[in-house]
Amino acid sequence: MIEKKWYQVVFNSILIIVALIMILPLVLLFISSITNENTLVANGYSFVPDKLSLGAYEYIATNYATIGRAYVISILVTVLGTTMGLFITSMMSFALSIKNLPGSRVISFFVFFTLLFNGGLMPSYVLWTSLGVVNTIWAYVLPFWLTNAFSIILVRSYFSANIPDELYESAKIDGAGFFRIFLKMAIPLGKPILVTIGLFSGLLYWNDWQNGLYFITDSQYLSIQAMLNKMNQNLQAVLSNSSYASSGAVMNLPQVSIRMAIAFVAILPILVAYPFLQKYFASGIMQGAVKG
Amino acid sequence: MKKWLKWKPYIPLYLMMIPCAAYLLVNNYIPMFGIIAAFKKFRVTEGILGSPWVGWKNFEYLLSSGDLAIIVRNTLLYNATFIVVNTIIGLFLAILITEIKSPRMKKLYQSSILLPFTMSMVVISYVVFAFLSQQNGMLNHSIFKDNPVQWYSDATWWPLILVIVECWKNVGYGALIYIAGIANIDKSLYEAGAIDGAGKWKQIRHVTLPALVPSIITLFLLSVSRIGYSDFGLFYLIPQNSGTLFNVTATIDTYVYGSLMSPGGIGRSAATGLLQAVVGFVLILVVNGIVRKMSSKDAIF
Amino acid sequence: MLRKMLSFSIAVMLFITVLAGCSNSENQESNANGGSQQADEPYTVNFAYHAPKEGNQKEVNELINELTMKELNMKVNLIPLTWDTYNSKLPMMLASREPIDITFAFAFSMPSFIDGGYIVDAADYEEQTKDIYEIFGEEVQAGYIGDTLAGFPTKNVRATPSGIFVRKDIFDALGYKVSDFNVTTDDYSSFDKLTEMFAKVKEEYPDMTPFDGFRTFGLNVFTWVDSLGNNFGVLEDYGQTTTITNWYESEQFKQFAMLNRTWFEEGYSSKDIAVDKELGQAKMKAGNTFAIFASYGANVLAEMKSQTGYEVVQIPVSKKMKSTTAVNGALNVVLSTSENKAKAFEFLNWAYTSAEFNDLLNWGVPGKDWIVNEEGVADYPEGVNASNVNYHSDYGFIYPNQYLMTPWAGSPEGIWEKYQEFDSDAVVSKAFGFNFDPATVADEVSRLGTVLAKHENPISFGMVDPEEQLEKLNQELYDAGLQRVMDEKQRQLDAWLAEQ
Repeated sequence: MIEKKWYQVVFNSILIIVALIMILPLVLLFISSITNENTLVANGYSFVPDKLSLGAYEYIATNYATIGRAYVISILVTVLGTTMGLFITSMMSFALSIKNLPGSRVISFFVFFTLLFNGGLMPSYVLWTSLGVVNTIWAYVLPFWLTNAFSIILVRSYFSANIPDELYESAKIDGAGFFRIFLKMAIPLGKPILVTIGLFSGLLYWNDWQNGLYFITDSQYLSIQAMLNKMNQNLQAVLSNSSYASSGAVMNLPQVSIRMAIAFVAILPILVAYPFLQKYFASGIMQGAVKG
Repeated sequence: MKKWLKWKPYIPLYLMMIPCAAYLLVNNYIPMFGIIAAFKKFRVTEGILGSPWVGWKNFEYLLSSGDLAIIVRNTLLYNATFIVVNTIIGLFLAILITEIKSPRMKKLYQSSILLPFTMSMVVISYVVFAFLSQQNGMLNHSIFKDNPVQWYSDATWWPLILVIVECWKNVGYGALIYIAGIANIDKSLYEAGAIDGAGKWKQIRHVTLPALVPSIITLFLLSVSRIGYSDFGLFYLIPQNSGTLFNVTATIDTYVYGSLMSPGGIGRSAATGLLQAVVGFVLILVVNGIVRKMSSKDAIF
Repeated sequence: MLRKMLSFSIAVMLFITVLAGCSNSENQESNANGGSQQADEPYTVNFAYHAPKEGNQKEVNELINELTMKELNMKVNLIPLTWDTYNSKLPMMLASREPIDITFAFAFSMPSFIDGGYIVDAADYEEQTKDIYEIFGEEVQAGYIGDTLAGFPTKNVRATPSGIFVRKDIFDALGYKVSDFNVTTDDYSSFDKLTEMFAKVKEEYPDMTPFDGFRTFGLNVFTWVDSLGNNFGVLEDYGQTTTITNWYESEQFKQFAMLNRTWFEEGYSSKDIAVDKELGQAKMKAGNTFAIFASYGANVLAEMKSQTGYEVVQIPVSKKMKSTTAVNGALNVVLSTSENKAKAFEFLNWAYTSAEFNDLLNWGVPGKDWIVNEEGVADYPEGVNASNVNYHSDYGFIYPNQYLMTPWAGSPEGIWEKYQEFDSDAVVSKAFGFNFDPATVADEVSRLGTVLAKHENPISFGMVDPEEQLEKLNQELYDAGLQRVMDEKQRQLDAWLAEQ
């Protein structure tokens, strides 16, 4: 029994250190965002700054237009991308899960092959641009992220394992009943896996900055992550259009803390939703692990 | 006629496949043909098809500039290191967490290790900069106060930094899979072991690890299939694009992006992309083949 | 298997359709028509131009449209590009054939733009561009790269010397006078005075970064040497020689690197200076930066004030030189993506002649972003300043015709005459008028560019030890074919000199 206790103490201490390593960098991000700009410049980033200041957040509050717009775009993209992706993925997976469907092997291969081979960035870029996504919200939604073979295979396995064969048989007799079965049976039955896939996809969309890098040339259409990426290079180009200094004084833009503040604002929705996210991620990861 | 009868009832299913199939066609298949640009001298007026063929010239350029060796080496070595480090630390964490008795602490640990996974690379690049910035960074202001390190020009540290950042972000994901795997292990195996007087370490070695082999192989296969690809954000954003770090931070993906950005680099970009795709394709076939030989049920296909 | 092949062939067909859609058949048609046939339908010119920020051009665009509808029966779609989008986004936009009619292009990207078929030979459209020929006279020739007239220069000051610009309030408070500084490349110890000043700033104003920004001595190659289109093989000493040498092996480059190294090691420059991509002017505007490095024209003090919001003092650090690069360093080009090239040239021609257009592009909406004050120069309206103005490019030097613009407040009277004067006493490079055609060494130049991208910033900003890194840089440059480029330059230059 004593030995057992000893294990617990050691394991807990190691894990507490690990947990701190995982969380503290994000704490530093937050503290930097509320550190006084001059303190930051003089003493560097620190967990215990000499002087705190909400200047960066005040700046965001007075200039909510730019950041607000980017936020709205991010939300819109996440919602649109996730729902559209889920819809087309689940329909494909459902169809593929039907036993004896003529041609399903070929189509499965068609799906699977995309995991093995791709054309690379350049052709994709040329193609999507020629389809006119540049400087539209579709630039975030469509290229690369909408669905992928892995999700399709995962959902298909789930459907195969959880939807009884009799349903298919009755639908076959029914003729055109497949779509009804899909909506009325498959979707409710597949809810756990669909929620998980949806969360992964939502996270992907919220965190995506690359499509912004490739396809957005007009700052008006920057999502919050794309904006953060651009700010890293050129803060002024993103934020200089301000009413902050309408008093006539020269604006002292808090260069360092403002970046941190906007980064923190960008991860806020994830932090808020994290307990929920974490629960479904865990269950989703387990399903993924079981099904491979 | 007979054939038609066989197909007819399934028409709604085919219709349901159309949106997704169309998307895969546009997003994945059509670009595959763009790789012919690898063999062309891309002239915008003629388009990809009309541009003149140049044979292997784009590849020769890559070889002769010496960049190819660097980016291929970096991509493969980093990915191999990530696979090994993530597997070992992931297993370690998973085993520790499952041994924890208190459900509340267990939950806390699980939550904390997955948190970095949900952050975007842009945000992480800000955090890393807060640590490494040579002007204001925390490391140079605290630990390296007397002997500040020039993080963004000193290449020696970068392999370590990149491995740490990657592991920090992704290890939780793997650990959760292993936790799931451990949860599925039949408890009686442990009980039998306990009666035999097997200690913790023996239980782990003889029960837990063997039971996790399928999960390990699955994750391993998935990683290997992506071994020619790198996390673009990790290599592009975290080193702040610092030129002196090129030799230790450039990967195939950052190079493809870089050539795409340099006018006249379209052909080279396509050539690098093609090499990447082929290397990835061959590797996944080989590794999957090996796995199938060893334990066929764990192979992906 | 059969079906598998079928799905592939469908994919191929689709792909071909997409590619065909990108091909140039339609362009040639509209080109042949010259636009005269559709006189009633106003053509919209997509005009990519250089701007400090993107997305605030809407009102300016509307006003320009009113103007162009009236005078040309055309419309304009402004596409602002910032420094970073020029390098990162423009090549991609071009490759994907986004319909851009006109853009500016810097000399360093010109060879590959021509090589990639992006640029329309302006010589075929002399008819539409008569005014431009009249404005520039002989200088039009500088637009030739090989046999292609790639584009037209911008009308502005030609000599681009460099200087250090410092905050006047602090400069005065420390008791300095401009006459204390006599910085010249003839005597490198004269640069120590700058170092002394930075030391003093660091001591007295610990919150300030003495030196910051994204330019410095070693990077502004065109200030010190005639770089003949690219930095690989140059004429040193302000072009007062005819022997091509390697700039990166020159004493000057080394001295500059060592100077910056001192600043970096002593903490006079920001430790992140080589990594940070923010413009120096923006840094100064934020309030923590004392000095920046920049090249300048005759009106730099007024320009700096409007860009940074601070009074600055100018400390010249170089002579003035006039080289071909100064004329063709940035050209306005018509792109092959233009749907109606004749119209595009017609618009470009007009852009060089319309004072109103140049003012709108540079200063924004009259009455809102700027007004003409009692002295007859442009200034902010009541309550508007450098920080809250909506549109204020102040990139006059890169817009078609700066000499037509309303000068900004604080500019000396007769500023454009002063500009011409400013040029007149410049050292003229011995290769002035010579254009290097890099077509035969395009691969080497592109490879050299990659090598340079690795080392240029860290060495120039002193982030690394110049002694060992310079050796490494030059080794890599020679490995990438520097000698071949230098030989080719020398050959073309000798041939040109023989003709003179």
